[in-house]
Amino acid sequence: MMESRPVAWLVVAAAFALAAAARYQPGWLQTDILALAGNGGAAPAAAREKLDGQLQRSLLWMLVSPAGDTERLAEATEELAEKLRKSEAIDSLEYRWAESEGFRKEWALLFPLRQQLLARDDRALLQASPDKLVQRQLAAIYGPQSGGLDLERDPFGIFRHYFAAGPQLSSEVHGDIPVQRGQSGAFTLVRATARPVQLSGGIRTPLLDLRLKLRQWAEGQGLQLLAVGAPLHTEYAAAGAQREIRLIGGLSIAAICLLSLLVFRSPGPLLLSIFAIACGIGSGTAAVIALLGQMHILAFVFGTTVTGLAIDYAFHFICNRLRPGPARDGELLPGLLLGLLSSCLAFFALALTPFPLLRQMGLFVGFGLIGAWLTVVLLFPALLRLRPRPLAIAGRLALGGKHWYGAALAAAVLLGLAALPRIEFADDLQLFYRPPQFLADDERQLNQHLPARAESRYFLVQSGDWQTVLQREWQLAGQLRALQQAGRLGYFQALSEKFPPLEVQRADWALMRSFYASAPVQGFYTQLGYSEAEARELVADLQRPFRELTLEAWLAVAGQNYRDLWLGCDGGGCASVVRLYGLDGGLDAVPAIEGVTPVDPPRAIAAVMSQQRDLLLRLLPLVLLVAFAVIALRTGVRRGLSIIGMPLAALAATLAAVVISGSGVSLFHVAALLLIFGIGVDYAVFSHLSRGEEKNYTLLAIALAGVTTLLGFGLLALSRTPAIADFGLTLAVGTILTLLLTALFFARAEPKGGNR
Amino acid sequence: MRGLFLSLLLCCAALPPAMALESRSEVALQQIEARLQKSPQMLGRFAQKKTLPQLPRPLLSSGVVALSEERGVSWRVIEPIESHLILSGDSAGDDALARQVAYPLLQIFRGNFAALEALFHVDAQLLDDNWEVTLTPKEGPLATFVSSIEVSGNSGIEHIRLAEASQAITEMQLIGLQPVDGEDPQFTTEFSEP
Repeated sequence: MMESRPVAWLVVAAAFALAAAARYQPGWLQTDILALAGNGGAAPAAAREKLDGQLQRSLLWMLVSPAGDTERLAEATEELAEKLRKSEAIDSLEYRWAESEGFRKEWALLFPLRQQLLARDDRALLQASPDKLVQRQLAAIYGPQSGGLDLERDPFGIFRHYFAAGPQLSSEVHGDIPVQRGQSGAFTLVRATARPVQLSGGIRTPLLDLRLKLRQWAEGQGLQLLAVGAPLHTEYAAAGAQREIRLIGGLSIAAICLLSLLVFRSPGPLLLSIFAIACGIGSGTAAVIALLGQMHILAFVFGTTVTGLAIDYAFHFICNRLRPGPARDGELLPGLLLGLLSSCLAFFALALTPFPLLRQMGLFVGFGLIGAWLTVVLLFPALLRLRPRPLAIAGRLALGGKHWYGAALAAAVLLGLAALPRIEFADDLQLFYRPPQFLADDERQLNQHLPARAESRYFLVQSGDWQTVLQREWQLAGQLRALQQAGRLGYFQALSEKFPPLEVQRADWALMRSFYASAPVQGFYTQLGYSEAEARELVADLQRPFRELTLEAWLAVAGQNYRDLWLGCDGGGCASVVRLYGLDGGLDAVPAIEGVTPVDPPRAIAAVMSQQRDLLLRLLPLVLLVAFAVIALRTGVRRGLSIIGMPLAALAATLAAVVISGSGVSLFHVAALLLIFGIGVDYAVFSHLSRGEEKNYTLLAIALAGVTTLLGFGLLALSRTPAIADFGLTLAVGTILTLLLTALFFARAEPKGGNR
Repeated sequence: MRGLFLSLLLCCAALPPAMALESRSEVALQQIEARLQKSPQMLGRFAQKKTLPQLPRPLLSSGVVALSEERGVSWRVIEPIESHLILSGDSAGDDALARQVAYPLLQIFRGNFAALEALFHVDAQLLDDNWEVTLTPKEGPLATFVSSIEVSGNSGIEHIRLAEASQAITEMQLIGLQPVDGEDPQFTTEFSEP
């Protein structure tokens, strides 16, 4: 029988591995938090990926010359670009914004379409008072500047206006590099794409190091270098988290090892316990891959933490082996099985909900606990070698009098009920990350130079084909122009502003045709000294046929800023982005348009987090109910109530503590509550089902598991990231409360001194 | 190798005279800038002759010019048509090409030639009573549509000749440009929106 257990373990492990291998696909671990939204997010996955790439990997470097030496600044920008290009942290660069070859190609493609492409202002002028266009051009010709007039092909500079339209700062161009002059000196911009962050073992900050090195170089040149962009923050946050994990993790591992060696006087039990948890995580991951195909990183992190519950089974088993006499593993099984069933079924209940995070977490934790439990039950008997010894000290861990347990349960539940109406929620993204001062300073200074930077909010425009996307964009642009006129929007950037839908191009073409045939145009030429006949001939030559150009053909030569707006077409249709600059107020100011979705990433993430938190909070009673039903079936209702009272009281009192501390309840608090529930169920089942002299060993196992949980996760309360600190602190409070309740229960079960 | 050595020698030999020329021009430029009548507000007239290669005859125009340190240049054409244009650092219009010409013109009207050294090779010469500054664009987009700008004058700027790469030539004669009070009614009218 004993020999067959490891074989059974191997068979189960192989079954998990095979099932996972059958459905394994690269990219099974999702990182996009919006994918957790019940509707799968607003944008198709490919579009979101492209946008994420742009947002998450884009860096903006600004080189400032306080002295305003534009020529030197352009040279220094070239040197900066060279240095960036050589850096391994940088993927690609763009700084020759005035790259003449690109403009030439675009001009060559679009110039033949000059009768159908209009700048927005010129279109309005042609519709309202075409005479003014003639007067404007005469004023320009008689003015001090003429700047490349083409009296035969573009006599009114209409195409030139179209081509150069858009907000531009006053700039000088030095060798394709535009130098912007501002109030406090001149500056140039370099946009870079960072290589994806390598999540390797070592703490590496290549971008932050590069920023520091380049700043010193710039200072040596009498210049100032500013850098902004998500990759800098990602790197800072990742390095910070890694440092914390190393410190906190190192401390807790050292403390757990020390504790284990002190109690068990052998490294074996700890190694076996860690192995059991690893098996739990492995089986949980395998089950989610096999059943769902993919998992979100948040489910993985939370799930892994909750699977840490498995240490309860391991310690329970190990402590039982300390009992003098022959191994009595069988006596443990009912308690272990009930502990597993109650937690496991409660988590499986989460898996029945239609919400991705809850489903993934439910399956992960459920199967994780099964995997760890099977490892304990099937492998530990053969692998664990421990010398038994009496544990008189454990009996002293029991606290208080006979009725204290019941009173404590009631007090905790009442406290929780009293706190419930005062509960407040928090979904601020600052819970995850607060930018450091030096990056915030760069951001502030850069914004002072640049009048407007693209907002993180944008509109996503979707349809089955590119023509309809442009039509919808055009409709949206109309609404956005109204916002601009009301002073609530600085500027917006849309493909259709430069490349209007075909029907708009047709209307513009007709508008221009009637304009060219009008008397003021004839008069324009005669005013300039042409004869009537020459003027008629010139006017006739102005008329061009309408030409159809595809969006794809234009994008092939368009500037990068426009190419970035196009998200492409796939099986799910085509999509584009309309970027906003200087938006005052919310996106909801724009009336709904079919196929146009306002996207506010920070808000959307906060919304997903709050949705998941609310769901978990609402499901906590269900989870408790399932656990109670399972326990009551085995122990009877009265005892079941006593058992479930412990996690319920711990949860209620912890929630009350969070509320009293004034902290808003976030998803991380609720994840910690879920773990507290699991801990509470285990401790309650083990303590209620242990008998006679077994109690000392049960109490020791619970105390060890509790202290280990406190050291392993409670120390996270020291983290500087609020979300992690919240998780750690909540868990620490909940674990301590559960331990206290367990100690009180043992005192009730056995009058003081009875255990000794 | 000998060829390279000789070339280097020639380059080195050519350096001192070139440097001397540069510094002579710089001294002249400083003297010209010192000579220019500088006032925060100036008002006068202009006569302009624009020769465009496509046109059968030059375009003649005249009007009122006003220079303001704060607000830029007002260019009001009275003959043969009526039009009004204000050139300033931030309102030179949304035409990128026109803006490229507007900036140097603005600096020229302000007599601020030193500001243009990043964009142009600046050659200044002091003649008997007059001075002459020739601006030739350095390599870059400006050079694709401006060939040269010649500016001459005495105590003020009197004549500007803008030669474009398209063969268009604009000659501006500034007449009777005088300092005026900021509150001068005609001056303030010139800067009211066209």
